[in-house]
Amino acid sequence: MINQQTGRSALARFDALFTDHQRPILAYAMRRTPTLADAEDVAAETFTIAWRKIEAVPADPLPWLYAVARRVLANHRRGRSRLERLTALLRVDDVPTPMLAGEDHDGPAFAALASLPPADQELLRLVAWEELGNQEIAVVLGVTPNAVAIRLHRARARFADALARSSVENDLKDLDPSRTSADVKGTHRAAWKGVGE
Amino acid sequence: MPTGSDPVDRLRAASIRADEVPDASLARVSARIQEHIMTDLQKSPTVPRFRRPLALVGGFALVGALALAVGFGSGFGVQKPGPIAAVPTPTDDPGTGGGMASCLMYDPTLLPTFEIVFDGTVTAIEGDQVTFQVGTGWKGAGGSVTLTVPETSVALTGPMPDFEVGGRYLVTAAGGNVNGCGYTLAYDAATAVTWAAAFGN
Repeated sequence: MINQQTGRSALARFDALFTDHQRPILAYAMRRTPTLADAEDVAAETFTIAWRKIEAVPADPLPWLYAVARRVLANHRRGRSRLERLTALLRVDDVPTPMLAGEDHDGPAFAALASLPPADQELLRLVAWEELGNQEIAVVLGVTPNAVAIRLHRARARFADALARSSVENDLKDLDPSRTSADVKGTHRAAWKGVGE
Repeated sequence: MPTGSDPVDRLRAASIRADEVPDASLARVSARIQEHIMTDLQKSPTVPRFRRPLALVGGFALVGALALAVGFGSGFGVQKPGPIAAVPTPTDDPGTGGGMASCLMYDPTLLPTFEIVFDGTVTAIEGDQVTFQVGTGWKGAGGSVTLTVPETSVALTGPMPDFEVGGRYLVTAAGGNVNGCGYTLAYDAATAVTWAAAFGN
């Protein structure tokens, strides 16, 4: 038998879920895909899964949605990689996502991020872009909050080092050519210590 | 305590914010979800099926062969195949519940099929009545226009903008009702160009 109340509740719940979280989920996808079409694919698939598993959506749904989007994105990248090899010369209508079209994306911060291991990159993105705390990141990545704290501490340190190499070092050298790389690294580590802890 | 700024801020500053994602993109996402939901509703006997209109966007016509329709009566139950697609017209009576349908995939080339299409600014809101001062009237509108904003279900007819006095919107309407399904959006220049192009401008 179809439970009428359950059915109405499911659609109402999905309405609320989509209304409240469509923008952060699409933004999540846009930050991680090269084109708007890709981002829309990922967001649509994420919410379709949420609809089909509406009874499993937790009370705090956003980290759960990010976790779903993360898996969808991984599948999408694998599929796109295959597709790109076949259609690279035919695709003419892809619109770059706004962030990726921005000049900031070519800056030293992104260069530093790109130099890190993928797991570090995603941790830092979840902090910087989705503004998640350790508990929420743990839900997204399927690990314990303690593991997130440890990994994040190391990722932050590696990012600070990479940023120092790609940006700060040059800036400070411009100000004081006598400074060495070691000086710069030490200064930056000191500035980083305690941030977000 | 930190002695300097958080380097992660350098990443944060370069990221698109959630409130910056384009409405047109959200409309396309919504349309794709609706397709899946409507397919699920039709295929699975275990998925709830609505037969009563949710007091949604009023009046739906038969347009195209892309979207599936659902007959809405009262409560849930076995569905009969319904009419196709969803572009509002004044010919259907939204109160009867007979014409409720899922949305067509958002496609600006369909705009000329709508009764009213314009770029306008809200001058007054009273209950569900919204008055627009039409800036560019592409079809069926000029001067001041007052329309009804029906209650919507995001899952079935997509998001409706939160209208505010002074806000500028790209609007389609039929039968005195603002359309959902992503065919009414908060103004953005890129989408406006697309809409104008649909009318050969």
